[in-house]
Amino acid sequence: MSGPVVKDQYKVSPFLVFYLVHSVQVGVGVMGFQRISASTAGNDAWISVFGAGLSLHIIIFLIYKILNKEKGDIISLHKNLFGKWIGGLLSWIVIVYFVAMSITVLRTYIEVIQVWMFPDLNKWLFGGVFLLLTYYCLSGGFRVVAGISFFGVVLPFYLVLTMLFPVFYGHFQDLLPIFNHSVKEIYEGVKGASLSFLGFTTLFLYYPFIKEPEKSHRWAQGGHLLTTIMYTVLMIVTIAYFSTAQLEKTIWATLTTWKIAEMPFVQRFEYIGIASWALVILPNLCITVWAGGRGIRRLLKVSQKSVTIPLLFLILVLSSLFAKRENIDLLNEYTSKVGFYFVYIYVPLLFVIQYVKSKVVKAK
Amino acid sequence: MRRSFNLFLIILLLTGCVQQSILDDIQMVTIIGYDLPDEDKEDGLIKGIAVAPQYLADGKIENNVFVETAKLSKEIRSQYNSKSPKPIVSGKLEVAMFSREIAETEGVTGLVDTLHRDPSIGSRVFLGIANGDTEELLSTNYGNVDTGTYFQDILKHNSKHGMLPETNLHSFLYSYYSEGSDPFLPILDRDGDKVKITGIGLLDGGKMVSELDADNLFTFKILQEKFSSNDSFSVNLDQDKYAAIYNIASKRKIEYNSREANKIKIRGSILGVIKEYSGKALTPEALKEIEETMEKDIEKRGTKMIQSFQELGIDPISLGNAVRSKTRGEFDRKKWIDEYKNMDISFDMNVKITESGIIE
Repeated sequence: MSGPVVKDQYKVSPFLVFYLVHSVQVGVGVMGFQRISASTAGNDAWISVFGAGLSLHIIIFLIYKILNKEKGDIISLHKNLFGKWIGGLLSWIVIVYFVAMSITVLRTYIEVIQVWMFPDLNKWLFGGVFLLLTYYCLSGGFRVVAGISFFGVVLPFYLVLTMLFPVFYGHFQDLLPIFNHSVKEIYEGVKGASLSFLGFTTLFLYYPFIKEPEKSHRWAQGGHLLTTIMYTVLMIVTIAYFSTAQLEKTIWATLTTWKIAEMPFVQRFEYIGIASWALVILPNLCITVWAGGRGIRRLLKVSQKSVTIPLLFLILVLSSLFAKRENIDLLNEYTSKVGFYFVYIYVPLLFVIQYVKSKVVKAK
Repeated sequence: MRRSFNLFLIILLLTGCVQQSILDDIQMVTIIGYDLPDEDKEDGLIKGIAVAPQYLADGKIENNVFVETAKLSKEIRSQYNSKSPKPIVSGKLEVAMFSREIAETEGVTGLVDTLHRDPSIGSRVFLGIANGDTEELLSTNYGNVDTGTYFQDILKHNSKHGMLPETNLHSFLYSYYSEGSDPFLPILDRDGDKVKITGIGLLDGGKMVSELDADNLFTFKILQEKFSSNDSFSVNLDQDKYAAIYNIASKRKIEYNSREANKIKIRGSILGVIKEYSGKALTPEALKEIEETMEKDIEKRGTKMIQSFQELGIDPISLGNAVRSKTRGEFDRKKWIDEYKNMDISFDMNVKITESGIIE
């Protein structure tokens, strides 16, 4: 049971996992996840978001349990547990999932720019340039990806302060009465919030790239904790700022709250915010594309560079094929659905199968 | 080397790929107004008035007024463009005015939708109702200022330091979509070469159903907002004795208990200072008298106001939200308004005068 060998010079410090986990979670979901949770859980949606965050701490714990035992990545895990063919098939599904995620991220970001800033933006050109930048980062290997995710968290972090603007217009009594929704409604809200938390499963692929990976567990939990806290606070602020029916009409609640921001030097803050968001999107793309490429490299035993370019082309073409709001929404919905089951069902299942198999092997 | 040069070239060539909006080459509309067309040409037509300032080299500001009639408000914009030497943009819109006629007959919902839908329009845009002729109100020159900014300044300082509660686009939308609250908008009128806030219009959904005049705004603001300050109120003690009280801070508390679901108690309190007093000496007794008279006066006005709200079935002071926050289960707007109409709502005021200026 051993995974791929990665040379020490390509590995990253354990603390960088904090940024890797956090930056891949915060992406396009956070721009408008509030509406989806609030449509079922109403003013209790913040409980859904908080609940989703807490439950994922357990999933991250399970991922580390699995990987610490396997000492490899998901490709070797699949091979060991299910054999070459079924394991390979499952690995391909995971790769397709990561690639679909990068398509979702890129297309949704381009949509936001088209709707909010430049309706005549050419998605091919912009997508091409953005992917060129992604390629530039990826060609430096995983260490550069980790570095980009560090900057992707630190540089745009000032955007957290923009949560203050809507607070002055907040009607905090809207949060009351707490627990006014049934458990089922709150659970539906958890499902809705999950897209904005996804992506940390890329851990399954970059785990062998971490120096002393066991030590990175608490950093991964820390990165996720930051996301949970940020989302919960954002959800509370959003519920207070909008009335329920108003929130249901608002596609990008976070961006809409920026419209109230007033600063002496800028009339419309969204333009700065959305432009800064490119820095949040970049590590998102880098990590997911890297994970997809890494998976293919491991399966086909080719160099990752030769995989990356066709992969980026594929992402550009596929993401540009989605032209309408409904299609993009559908893409988001499916990716988040698949991600939801991947995280909540497949990961625990893997854990159980691995556990049973290790017992069986020992007994023999 | 060659590769990096190619990259550099690509970056250079990409700069022109979206439509540019250079400040000198566009017309920025700062205020728009909507009115019904003068003669009944066709149903469903709206007259749109847009004012865009032009800053001239000698420091003068010229207000360009565009008036067009069309079915949809965005259609009006393309008609403006056909008259304007520069493309018209709405990113710096400050104020949107609706005529009283529109507010009372068609309602403002459809027009607010275009403002709500447009990403380039901020949430801080002020909304208002124009008394009288909207076109005249907007096309008048109010000195060497940009009309939109002039209107915005009036509304802004009055909602920040004056008698007006906050009435921007976001506040309107919040109340409009909220189950337990109804929107209201300030009414503006031309007064010679100035603009004056003459009161506020109370809306039911998108339609204006009633209004309050400027005298009642002090009381309304206390009822409506949790905290308010910086406006003054005058008390008539006798025929020739009066005092002006400046509000430093006022608070509003809504007491509601789901066990006594038919009762709401609103408690207001004011901390004030005396700005003007026409009597002889401000003895402690005189102060007490002022406080009591003021309490009674506000209570009387407030109670009357609440009663008229109940009769009209509107809830501009968002009592519904206060009740909803203490009620378990689904909150239904229709059921709530039915209950609200027959509710026993009492208003209790407490005035405290802390200072009386620098003379005794």
